[in-house]
Formats: sequence, C-alpha cells, structure tokens
Amino acid sequence: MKRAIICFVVSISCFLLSGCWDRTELNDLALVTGIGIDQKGKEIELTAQLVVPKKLGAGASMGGNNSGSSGGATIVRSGTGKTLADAIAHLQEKLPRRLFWGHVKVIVFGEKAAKAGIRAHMDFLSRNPQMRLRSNVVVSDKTAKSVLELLPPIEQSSAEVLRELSNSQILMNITLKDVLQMLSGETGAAALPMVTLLPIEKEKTPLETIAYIDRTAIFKGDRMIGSIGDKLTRGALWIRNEIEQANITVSLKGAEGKITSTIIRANTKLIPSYKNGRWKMTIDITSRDDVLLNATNLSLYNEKHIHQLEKALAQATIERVNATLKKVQKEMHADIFGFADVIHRKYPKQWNRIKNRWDDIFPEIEVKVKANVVVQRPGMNTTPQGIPEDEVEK
Amino acid sequence: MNTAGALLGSIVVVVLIFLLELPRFRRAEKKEKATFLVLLGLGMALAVVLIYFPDVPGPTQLVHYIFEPLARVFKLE
Amino acid sequence: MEKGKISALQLAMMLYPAIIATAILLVPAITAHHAKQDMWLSPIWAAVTGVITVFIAVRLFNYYPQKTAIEYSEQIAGKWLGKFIGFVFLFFYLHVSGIIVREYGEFIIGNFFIRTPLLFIMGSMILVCAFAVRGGVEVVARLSEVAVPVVIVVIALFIIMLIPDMEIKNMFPIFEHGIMPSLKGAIIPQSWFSECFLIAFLLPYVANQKDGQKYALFSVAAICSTLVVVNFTVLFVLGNITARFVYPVMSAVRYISIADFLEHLEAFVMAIWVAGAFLKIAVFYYVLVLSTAQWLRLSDYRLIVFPIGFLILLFGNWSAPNVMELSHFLGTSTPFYLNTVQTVIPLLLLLGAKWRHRGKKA
Repeated sequence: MKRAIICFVVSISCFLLSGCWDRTELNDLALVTGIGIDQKGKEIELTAQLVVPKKLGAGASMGGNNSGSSGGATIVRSGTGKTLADAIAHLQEKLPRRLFWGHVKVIVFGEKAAKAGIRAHMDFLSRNPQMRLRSNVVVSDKTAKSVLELLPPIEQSSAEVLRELSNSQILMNITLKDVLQMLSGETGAAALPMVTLLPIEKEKTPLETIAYIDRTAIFKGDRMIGSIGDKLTRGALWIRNEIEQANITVSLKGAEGKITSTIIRANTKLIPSYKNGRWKMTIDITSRDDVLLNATNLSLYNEKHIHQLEKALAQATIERVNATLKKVQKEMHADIFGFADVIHRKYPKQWNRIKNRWDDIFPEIEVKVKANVVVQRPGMNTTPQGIPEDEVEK
Repeated sequence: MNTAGALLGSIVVVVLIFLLELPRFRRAEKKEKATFLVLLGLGMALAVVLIYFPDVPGPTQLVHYIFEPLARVFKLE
Repeated sequence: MEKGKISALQLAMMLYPAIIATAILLVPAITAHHAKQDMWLSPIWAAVTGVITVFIAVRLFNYYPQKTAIEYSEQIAGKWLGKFIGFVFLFFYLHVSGIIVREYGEFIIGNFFIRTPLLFIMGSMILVCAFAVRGGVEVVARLSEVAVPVVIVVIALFIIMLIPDMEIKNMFPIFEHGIMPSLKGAIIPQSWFSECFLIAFLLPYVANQKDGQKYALFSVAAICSTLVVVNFTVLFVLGNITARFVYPVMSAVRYISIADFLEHLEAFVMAIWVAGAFLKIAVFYYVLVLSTAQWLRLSDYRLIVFPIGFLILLFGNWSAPNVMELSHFLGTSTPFYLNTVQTVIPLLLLLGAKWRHRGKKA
C-alpha cells in the first residue's frame, strides 16, 4: 500500500517537474535594450530596441572579420497607445516573441514627450517588476525613435553607446532612480542628459552613427522647460559635486600661449546660511589638478608661476559656475543643484516655513562661489618642451 | 480557477493526506484519529466554503474590525 | 510528545529567521513611510518589545519549567479560561502562519512568477515545511543552523556591493520633526519583535536552558542590528523614494551594478527570501502543530501535521483578497493584533503566575 502511494505521488510529480507552466524559453523572448518614448499628438509612441540574437552571436565570434559592419545587431519596433502600457500592448502585437524588459539599458524621451510631462511614464517604468532602476535616462532633441534606430559602428547597440557615454560622467549621468528621487524631492526640478545625433561621416549610411550627450534638459516638475549646453552643464556638475573629468584651459598674465590642466579630484560643498530673512548659499569648490599642456614659456617648477596658475584656474572655475547659475537660477528658476535639499538638511525648521514658496525664493538666493585649486604635478615635463632653454622663463 | 477544478483539487489533496497518513493513522490512538479526521473535515469544509464564496469575511476582517480603532488612535494610515 | 532537544544557540538561530525573513522585505517601506530619514532608528526602539517579550517568556518558563505556553496557561488561568487562552494562541498562530505564507506567495508572484497560481506557490512551500515539521524540533533547528549563516552572508554581500551607490547625506536632517516619527515608524517593526514569544513554546526542548535567555536576547540584538543596517542601506541608496516601493530591499539590490557585469542579482534576494520564509513558516507551523497537540492532550503530533498544513493554505488564501488589503492590514491593525496576543496576554499570564506563586520563592 505504502509503495503504491509513493509510486502515485512520484508519478504525479512527473507532470509538475516537466517545467513551470508559465515558462518562457530564451528563444521566445525579445530582449529589449532600449526604450524610446515619443509624444504623437495625443498618443504615446513607444519604441523598443530589440536584440537580434543571430547577429549578436555572429558579431561576437567573428570579431573584426566583417569590417565595421557589426551593426545590425538590433532592430526597432514601435507601438502607439493612450498610455505607455497601452502602447506596449500594441507593440507586442507586432512581435512574434514576448517582450522582456529586464535588460533595458537606456530610456530615451523624445523632446515632445519630455515637454508633455514624464510622471506617468516614470510610474509605469518603476512599477514594472522587470525594469531596473539602474537604466539610464536621456532626452533626445528629436524623436526617441531616431536615436534608437541607429546602428553604431563600434558598440552593439545605440542603447549600449548611451549607457557607456552616461557612465563616463563627462556630462550628466542620470539613472531611473535618480529621476524618481529628483521628481519626488524638495527641489521641484530635475536635470536629464540630452542627446543629439553625431553628423554622419562620408561613405556611411545614414544610420551608421551614434547619438551623444551634448546638453542637459532642465525639468520643472515633470515637464521639460528648456536645455543648457555642455559648458553650462559642466558648471552644473561642479555645483552638484558630480564632476569627474574636466580640462580647464587658462592663459596667464604676461605670458603668451595657454595652459591646460585636468582635474584629478574635485569636491564641492554647498553651505547655506540664513540672515535677516535672506538666504545665502556659498559654493565652496576645492580641486586638485595636474598640468596637461603648457604652451607658454613659463617653467612650472617656479612656485610663483604655479600660484599664478592656480589662481587663474580657480577664476576660470568660478566663471563657469557663475555662468550656469545665471542661466539656470536667474532665467529658468529651476533648482537642479539641490539647494532645497541642502537647506532642508541644515535648516529643517526654517525649511518647513519656506518650502511652499521655494519657487519664489530660489531665484532670489544670493550665491557666492569660492574655488580653491591646487596644482599637484606638472606631468612628465619639467620646463616647457620644444623651445630653446634660454627662452624659458624660470 | 473554475469551481469544479478547485473542488476536485481539494478532494485530491484531502484524499492524498489521508492515504499518506494511513499507516500512522492505523496505529494511532482513538483521540488522535478523531482529531485527524476532524481537522481534515474542517479543512475540506473551509475549502468548499471558500470555493463557493471566495469573498466570505475571514479572520483578517475580524481582527481588523477589532483593532482598527487603535490603529486610528495612532494615526497609522 | 516531543523528545528532541535543541541547544540554546539553535533556539537563537530559529528565532532570527522567524523575524527577519519577512521583516527585511516589508518593514523598511512601512518604516520609511512614517519615519522618513530617521528610519534607521526605528528598529532600535522596536527591539525594546523583543527584549520585554523575551523576559516575559523566560519568567513564565521559570515559574513552570518544562511547560509550554499552552500548558501553563491552563495552570495559571484555570481549566476553562486556560483552554480559551490556548485557543486564542492556536487561532492566532494559524492565522499568522496563513498570512506569512501569503506574504511569501505574493512576493514570489509579484516579482518573479507573475502568472503562476498563488495556491501552487503557497502549497509547495507548506508541503516542504510539513516534512520539516514532521521531523520534529531537531530537524527545524538544524535547518536553521545551516541556512541562517548563508542568509547573513548574502545580506552582508548585498550591502557591501551597494556601498558605491550610497549617499550618506540622505540621512540628514536627523530628528527633523523630533523623535516622534521614528517612534511611529517603530510601531510596525516592534510588533514583529513580539514574535519572540515563540520561545515560550520552544524553551522546554532546549538542552542548556540556563543560556536560553542569553541566546534569545542575543538573537534580538542580531535582528535589531540587521534591520538597522538594512534600513541604512536602503535609505542611503534610495533616499526619499524608499517608501514608494513595496519591497525597497529588492529594488535596491536590483540597482547593484559593479563593473557592468555583477548585476541582475535579484535571484539571490529570492534565494534568501525563500530560505528565510521556509524557516519562518516551519517554526510557526511547528509551534502551531505542537500547541494543537498539547491543547487537545494528544500523545503524538505527527498525524495532524498535514491536516493543519491544509488549513494554513486555506487561511493564507482567505487572509486577504489582494496585496493592497494585505499591506493595509499589515500597516494598520497587525501591530496591535500581534502585540495583544504575544505581549499583552503573556504579560497577564505572568501577573497571574506571580499571584499564584505569592509567598513562594519562584
């Protein structure tokens, strides 16, 4: 009897062990690497960039054999609908495989969609259990589709290109998590990297290029209100303490030519203060630089010249930051720097009184920028190369 | 889930439990036998109730009814 | 009835997953909702309940050595009232086991097996637990001894891997609205700590009983510090949006990305969650089965393991129609429910025992 029962149970489990009933094999899945969201009239157009597995495998194993045409590893498909979820349903109709969102590397918003508001899209993206908070978010100056359909010459997909560019942190690097934090934070503003198409080289097809990050889109609430160029973005990065790589070129008084130095380490402190009903913000920047290029005839082994250089670098940094403040604080009134958070942290009591009026207060805040630059190493050269020794000013 | 399938499923589960425990059941004392059968019967009855009236208020609703005023006092909403 | 013996360390190892398993996933969001950036402080307040509950359980045990809560409540409160208190415990553990099984099922389905029927997920878990429970207290204890270190190591690895994404500034300003928000955020986790009362059912089977209290308190401290560290982690990583996620730890772990290839680690969250939930359910299930047998004065509890498992499954299904109501219930009435049964009733029992033993030296 007992044996019979055991046999029965074992044979039943055979049915269950054949696999999960909602199993999905890898070759039934369409792996999405990038999502594009565009506004088309009143409808949303969703573009998904999908991996074409065959091409991807061939490209990886053959390496450089088919010179430079590793492109074609991805395709794009679009669907439209009233909401993002609706658009996905329509997109799924056009695909033989189930869409899988677990590998989304980048989410691209078309400029129109960004101007129409991104909150509803953000809710969908963070609610979906397959989606990752690590995905990078960018805004395209044209449509999102035009960015995703590119077939980049080096990387496997344009989504990968955007992810790598974001991670390099030369300009803004914003993930889905960061966007959610900015949108639900105190500042009421957000900044997202903005991409544009690289002009196409000769003898290349129109799609063989990449989109690169060259601006920053400024959001108030969940709507995009404008954008700032790369110089101003770098000013914003200084203030946000996100600067990783930067070269600053200055010319010194009394010397011809220019000196470029690169940042090794930089740190920015935002120090708020409150006096007589007026808010003040001190931006305290310290950075350590190395010299990259010296086109003057000054020897950088002379301490006097180094001090001169440090002052000039600090001045250049302050000018950059001030230019950004002028545009973003005084003209756009968007607190993308996180001043609100800093004040909230340091003056929680006062903050509760002013938080409803923050939009009026922010543009009026008096900002003082201080910079302290230390040049640490002159690179491999002692005195400037390529000029006779006696022309060098020691 | 359709009703007939669910009903069949619960009957299968109850019968399986019974068969699996049959050797032990034979050896057990009277009181244990009774408890075993009553608990199985309770399970089956509850299963039938839940299959036909899935929205019947349960212990959670009872507990919620008793303790919700306290939750309101502490403003846990 | 139960002839197995466990060590005091094993007791602590059973207690740890019995609280951590669900607390680590559900509690950070609830705490963050009330306490905001002070959420890391809440588990410390919450642990007070754990300490009190352990003291009550140990005191009661000292009055009635070798007896479980079901047995001594009859001696303290008299036959009928004692039976009623016993029934409250039974019903409570049946209901709570059902809810835990449901929490487990909802997490698995919400994050991974979206289309798998809930009953199947819950049923398979209960089946596995049933085999463990039939093995007796020693089996459950040894399983904990094997699994708990793994769970701790995995949690620690997650936290280390999240360090690059942490922003310490997220914890400021501390005490923005005074101490109250962090206390309020502690109401829910402290009710989880009241589950320490489980030791009242397990102490009679501990070999080195003198160390029971020490190890139980050690376990409370371990749980508390785990929760503090986990809360710090999600706060540093997610900041002001912590409360917006149902499972903040899950969302934070999915954020891990090291060198572009050490990512997509959520399967490990699932692994520790399944291991933790298994132990938690097994401990509750065991206590429920043992108590039922004691309440009915049966000589063996093994026969009723499967019927009770079937009841737990039904209660899991019955406990809430959907996740929203489940979390609403967990976020509002649950703390009072758990505390009433696991802290207030034992406290009353303790007072009763004191009164019965007045004049005598305990």
